Formats: sequence, C-alpha cells, structure tokens
Amino acid sequence: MTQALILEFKKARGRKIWMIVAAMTLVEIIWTLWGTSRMDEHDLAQGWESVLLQYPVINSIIMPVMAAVVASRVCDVEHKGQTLKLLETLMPAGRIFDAKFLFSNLYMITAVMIQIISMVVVGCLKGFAGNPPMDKLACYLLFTGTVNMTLLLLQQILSLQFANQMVSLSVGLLGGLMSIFLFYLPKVFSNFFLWGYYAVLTFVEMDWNPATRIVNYYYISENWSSFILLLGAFTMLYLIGRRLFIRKEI
Amino acid sequence: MENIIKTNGLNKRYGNSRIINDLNLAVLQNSVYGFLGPNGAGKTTTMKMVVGLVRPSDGMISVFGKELNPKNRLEILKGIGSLIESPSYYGHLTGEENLQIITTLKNIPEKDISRVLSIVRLEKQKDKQVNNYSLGMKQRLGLAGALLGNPRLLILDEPTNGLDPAGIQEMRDLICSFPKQYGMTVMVSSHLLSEIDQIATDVGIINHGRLIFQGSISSLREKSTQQIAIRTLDNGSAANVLKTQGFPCEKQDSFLIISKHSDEEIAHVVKELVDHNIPLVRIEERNNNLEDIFLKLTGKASEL
Repeated sequence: MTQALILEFKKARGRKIWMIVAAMTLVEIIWTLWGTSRMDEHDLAQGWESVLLQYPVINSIIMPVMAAVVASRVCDVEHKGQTLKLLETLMPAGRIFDAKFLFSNLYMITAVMIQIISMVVVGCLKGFAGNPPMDKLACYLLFTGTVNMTLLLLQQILSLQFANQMVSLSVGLLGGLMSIFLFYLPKVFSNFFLWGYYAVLTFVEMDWNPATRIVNYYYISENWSSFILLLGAFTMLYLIGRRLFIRKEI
Repeated sequence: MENIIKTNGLNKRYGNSRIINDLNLAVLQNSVYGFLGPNGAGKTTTMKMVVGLVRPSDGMISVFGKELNPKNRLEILKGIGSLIESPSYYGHLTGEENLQIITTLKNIPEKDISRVLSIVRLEKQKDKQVNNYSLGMKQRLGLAGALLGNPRLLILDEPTNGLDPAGIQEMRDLICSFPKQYGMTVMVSSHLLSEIDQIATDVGIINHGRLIFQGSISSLREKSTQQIAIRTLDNGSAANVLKTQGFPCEKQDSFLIISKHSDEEIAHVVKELVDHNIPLVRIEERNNNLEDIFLKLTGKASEL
C-alpha cells in the first residue's frame, strides 16, 4: 500500500490539487472571519458555539464541491492517459482504489485541520470566552471528516466509473446545493441524503429572537445514532464501489 | 520448443454475442508470433485476456507453463511487458517520470530507464512532458515501459498504429531484434498481413473470434500458388480446347485460369490455341500471394 500511495504522490506532481483545496479552504476562512468581524460582548461569550455552527453551514456547500474536484483530479489522470490497463497488469485493482481514496482523503483531512486551527486562532485573537472546547473540536473533526470521507468515496466511485468527469462534478455541485438546502429543512429529511449529514451531525443550534434580534447559540447532544448510520452507509458504499472497480473490465 | 502462451477452448461472450470462440493459441518461445485478423476479429480482447484485463467466459490460459488465475496473475505478469491498444501515459509528467512510475510498480532499479530509453531512442526527449510528444514518440515510450525489467514476453497490440513510414520501419526492426538480442518472445497483433509477413516467424489468423490458421509463416507461404491466366478473343472455344488437351480451367473475369505448368506444357497450350485459330491476346503468370490467402481465409477485403 505504501508503494501505491507513493505512486499517487508522484502522479499528483504538477496537478495543483493542493491549490484548489487551499483556495476553497481560504474562502471558508474568509467567510468565517467576516462572520466574526463585528462581535459584541454577547457574541464573544458564545464565540466557540458560533464558529462551530458557522463552519458546518459553509462546509455543506463547499465540501461536496471540494470532494468532487479532488476525486476528479486524482482519477481523471488514469482515464486521460488510459493508464488503468497498465496499472492493473502490475498492481491489484483493489489496491489502486484504496490508494486513491487514502491519498484524496489526505487533502480533505488537511482542509478540516486547517479549519480547526483557524477556529482556534480566530477564537483566541478575538477573545472568545473560555478556552477552546477541545472535546467539541475533536467531535467536529470526527463528524466533518467522516461526512467528507463518505462524499469523497461517492465522488471517487463516479470518477472512476465514468471517464467523462462532468458526471461526477455535476453530482458534486448538485450535492452542494442540496446540502445547503437541507440545512434549513427539518433534520429528519437530511438523514436520507449523504449531503445532509453536515446538518444532521451539527451539535450547535441557534435560537433567534425576532423581537430582540438577539441570536443565542447552544450545544445539543451529539447525534451518535446518525453517525453510526453514516458509517454504515460508508461501509456499504466502499464495498460496492471497490467491487465495481475491481470487476470493471478495461 | 516450449509454448510461452497456450490457450485452450478460450471463449468470451458479452450477452448473446460471442467475441472469442473456442480459441486455441500456441505461442512458441523465442518466436515473433504475428496475431493477424481484420478489425473487430477479437485480437485485442484475446490479448487483454492473456494479461488478465478481461475475464474469459470459458477456457484456460497458460503463460510460462502456469495456468493463469486471479491469484497468480500478477506474479505471472511480472514476466510480461505489454502495450495494448494505445500507449498508457501521464501526459502532465515527463517521459522519464512516466518510466519512474513503472519502475516503482515493477519494483526494479531506476537505472533500467536509460537502457530502455536508448533502445527506443528517446533519450533526448526524456525530460519533455509527454503531452508534447508526437504519437510516434508516445508509442515508443509505451514500448520502453513494456521493456522495463527485461520481460520474457512482450505483448504488443498494433504497435505501428499511427506511426509514419519511418516510425513503422523502426518499430519493425526493434520487434525483430528482441528475440535474438534479449531472448524475448513477442506476440504482436496487426490487421496488416504485409506487416506480419515482415516481422513474424509464426502466425495466427483470427476471424470472427475463431482461429482459422496457426503455424509458421513459411507454412502459410506454402499455401500460396502460382497460376497462368490466358485471355483470348474466344474464351468459350479456348476453354474447350484446353479441356480436351487436359488443362482444366476456370473463368475469371475475361481470363481463363489454369494451374502452373512447365514451360513446355504452356508452349503446347499456346500452339494448340493458335492451331484452332483462336486469337490469343494475353498470357500471364499470377501469384496467389499471402494477401490473397489472408483474404481467402478471412473473406474480408474491406478491412484491409
């Protein structure tokens, strides 16, 4: 597997995948900075809760697109150069699938890590009340990382199955739109769509009083049952997608 | 001599259509095996089955004396270099970087790269992005990749496709040199008989998924025959004269065709025709060449 991963690094040379990920992550950070730019005492008191809700909302639109672009960039090289027929004579197809998935995940995980670092830096600089909530940040990493990973898997399956990358990119874009839409619907709907899990697994809620125009953020308990459901969907998708790739004749 | 590739009752079906039909190939060690057939005859599918990219519906494939199965496939393929359909490459990388990827995959030292680059004469272009290569250069890079690790068997699917005449000649010379210089066995497919005729020592002809001939190129040549074509201004009477003189003939366009005979016998035929006052206007020797044999075997002129 190490050899297969090294190959993915070699193949990615000059593909500028990290630039796309960096640009999208930067958009998210700027968005958050803008959201925290005019905070009063009341806002600073619930600063951590505020950013822990803000990021999932932005993620719901940006991350499906990022997953689609990363998977497409990583898989498209094989279609363009018709290299699968070379690779599959020298390496098991399943290992190619696994290596691509692991490699693409590095970008997605890095993006989430940068988000968390940016949250902590912004929180400390702005003077959010209390210390960074490490348990909540760990939950954020776990939940966001898992939703990203599942969406990335779906995108990789599509990018490998269809040489025309418009198919997978369109799914990613539509997924992003659906995801933000699901955020504003009751969570029960979101459980049925992979893109809805950014909303399902959010553990901060917002209460807006129209009369006073005051927003209150508060933690709710983590939705572990939905997280397990998502893990189940991921496992099923992985087994199906991997098998489809292995069975595909070139 | 040992068979490097052997297939037994190989079949491939897609739904109801049978692409490969009971194929029994036998590729001898150190030979250049020309796999010949019209477009769509099943050459590429067969080669893909040999390297395990396509699963056979039935039948057995044995390579290097071992039966190919999903478990030992990659172990066996370590001894095979292949170039199927078109060269595989990463266009955004240089030629050398592409070969480095293959050395990593084959687990062989990178120093082998310069050896194969010099064989295919790409040393000067190794630092160029492959996207900027011509088709011929890409084809040569594909061949270099197949040669990495000095495999015992090379499988080349239409390697001269898209090459200019000089490139075609260069590729043919390379292929011919592999068995002698590197002790390799080469299986090369083509839809051009003239090409196979120039490079192969053995030939297999496939049509509609069936192997219709297999043997040495000399045994194929033995099938070629010579004929005498005679044209007169009264072919009907001429045919009667030839028949009575013991020279059965068949009509072909405006000619009467008889089999090859000695000069004395032909002189006798001419004399008889003249004695019967039949105006003789043409007499020519015709060779039934390999191309004619191929057409006769495959019944396909349009593909050539």
